[in-house]
Amino acid sequence: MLILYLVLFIFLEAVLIRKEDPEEWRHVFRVVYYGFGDARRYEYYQKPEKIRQVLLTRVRNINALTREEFDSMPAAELQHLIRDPVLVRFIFEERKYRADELVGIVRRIKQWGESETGVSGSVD
Amino acid sequence: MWTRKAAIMLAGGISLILVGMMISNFQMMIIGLTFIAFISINGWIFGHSELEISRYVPHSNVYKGELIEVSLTITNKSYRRTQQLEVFDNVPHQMKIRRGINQIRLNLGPGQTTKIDYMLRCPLRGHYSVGPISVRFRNAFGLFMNESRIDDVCDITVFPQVRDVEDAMLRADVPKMYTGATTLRTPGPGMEFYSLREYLSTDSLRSINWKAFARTGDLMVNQKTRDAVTDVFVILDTREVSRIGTVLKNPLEMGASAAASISNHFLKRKDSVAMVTYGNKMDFLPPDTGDKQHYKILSRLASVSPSGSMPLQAVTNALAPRISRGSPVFIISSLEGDGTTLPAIRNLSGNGHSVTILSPSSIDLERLVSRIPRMSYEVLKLERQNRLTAVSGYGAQVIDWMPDVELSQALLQSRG
Repeated sequence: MLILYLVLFIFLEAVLIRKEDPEEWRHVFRVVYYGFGDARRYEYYQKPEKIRQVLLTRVRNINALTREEFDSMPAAELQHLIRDPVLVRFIFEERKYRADELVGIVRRIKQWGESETGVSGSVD
Repeated sequence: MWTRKAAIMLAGGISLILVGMMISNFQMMIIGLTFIAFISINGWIFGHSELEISRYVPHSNVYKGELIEVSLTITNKSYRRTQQLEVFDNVPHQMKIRRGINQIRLNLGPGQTTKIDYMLRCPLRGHYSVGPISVRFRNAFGLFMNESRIDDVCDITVFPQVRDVEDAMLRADVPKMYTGATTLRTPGPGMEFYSLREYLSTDSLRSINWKAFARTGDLMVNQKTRDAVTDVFVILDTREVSRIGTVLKNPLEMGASAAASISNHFLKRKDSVAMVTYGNKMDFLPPDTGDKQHYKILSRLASVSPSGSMPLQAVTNALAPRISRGSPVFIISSLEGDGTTLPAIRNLSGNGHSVTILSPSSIDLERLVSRIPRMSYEVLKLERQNRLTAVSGYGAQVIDWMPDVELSQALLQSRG
């Protein structure tokens, strides 16, 4: 008798679990479309090498030089173009920089570009 | 189709009969049999009526952000009640229901009709389909149901928003080069009078000059001077990188709206506009004028999606034989991830084209969805400024378009 009750109990449970009513219909507004850039590159943009490259490109662009002209330029002339002693040291000194130092350097690069071009920066 | 209620009832009925048999309890067996008999009778009387459902949508083409009214008329064509009926109109997930609801539960009598109205908002451009209509019948006790679909589908095209840029363009001193329709001293379709000539069978009756006919006795027609129009080329970047940002604010959405607005502006001036999109492949819509071209451009822009990584130089090289000499070229691109931008712009400028680059700031769009460290953001912005400066060095007008700036305002900020 116990086995019969057990079997019937399992049978009823199986019916309850297996048999499902169809879902209620409802409209859901759903747009899954968020585009991110490559988040791994953010770290790369905090490295002194990258900041140095950005500064050199800025110097080259503002002075309307081709890559060849810029590459063949003597160091003294480059120093003369930049004029800012902190930025000149940043370009020529290979050492480790603290985060606050790099923040200061980036700020100086922005100011340098603005003073050279007269174009107001749109950064933030 | 059985419902859960019916399945439980059947299982319960069988159980009661079995237990009743085991303990020799006839009352229990009779209750079990009653359950099964009840289900059988319900299954036997189950059926549904003949329905007629029609949808009415007044506009199948709308602009992004606009509303669409949808009406659904449901008629019971048979001589019996529908029992419990559920009607659901399948609306794309990208559309928002602003008013009303797209479903109804009803029990229609013979020949009865009912109507549901609802209003949809289309916040995203694209091609969508409303429908098919899903119908679900349930019998009176909810033991059985039947689902069916009525293949009534309504296609809706959501065009990108078209902004008025006329004032901004005028103030930006750009359109001096694009003076719209200018007359040439040759006969052809146009507005101004050119000469009189004899009537040919192919001429329309409207072109007959009746005064000249009265004077000379011969049928004469007015010839017009041909309007020469400027070909404006709009190149829109639809590469994978143009999806950076939120669903509503990303370089592609901003670019599509800008391309539609610029095209509309020049088409209104009776200029000829060509549209080029590039991403996975290049799509070229040849220059043409008028409302038909406007519709073609909007349809093309409605269907663009971000994919691929085609370089800009490949596009300009392919276009070179098709661009008429001196035509102004608008490039709408974030200029990200393409090393060929500079040579492409240099070639266009070198061939005498006036190049205007409208560049949505992808760094600022990325900032809307991703936490960019402050330092990285500043360096990324500096790199972008370098890129824009280099491009403007080749004679292109460069517009750095920030996400929170309206198109007309952005067009005023041309640099270079």
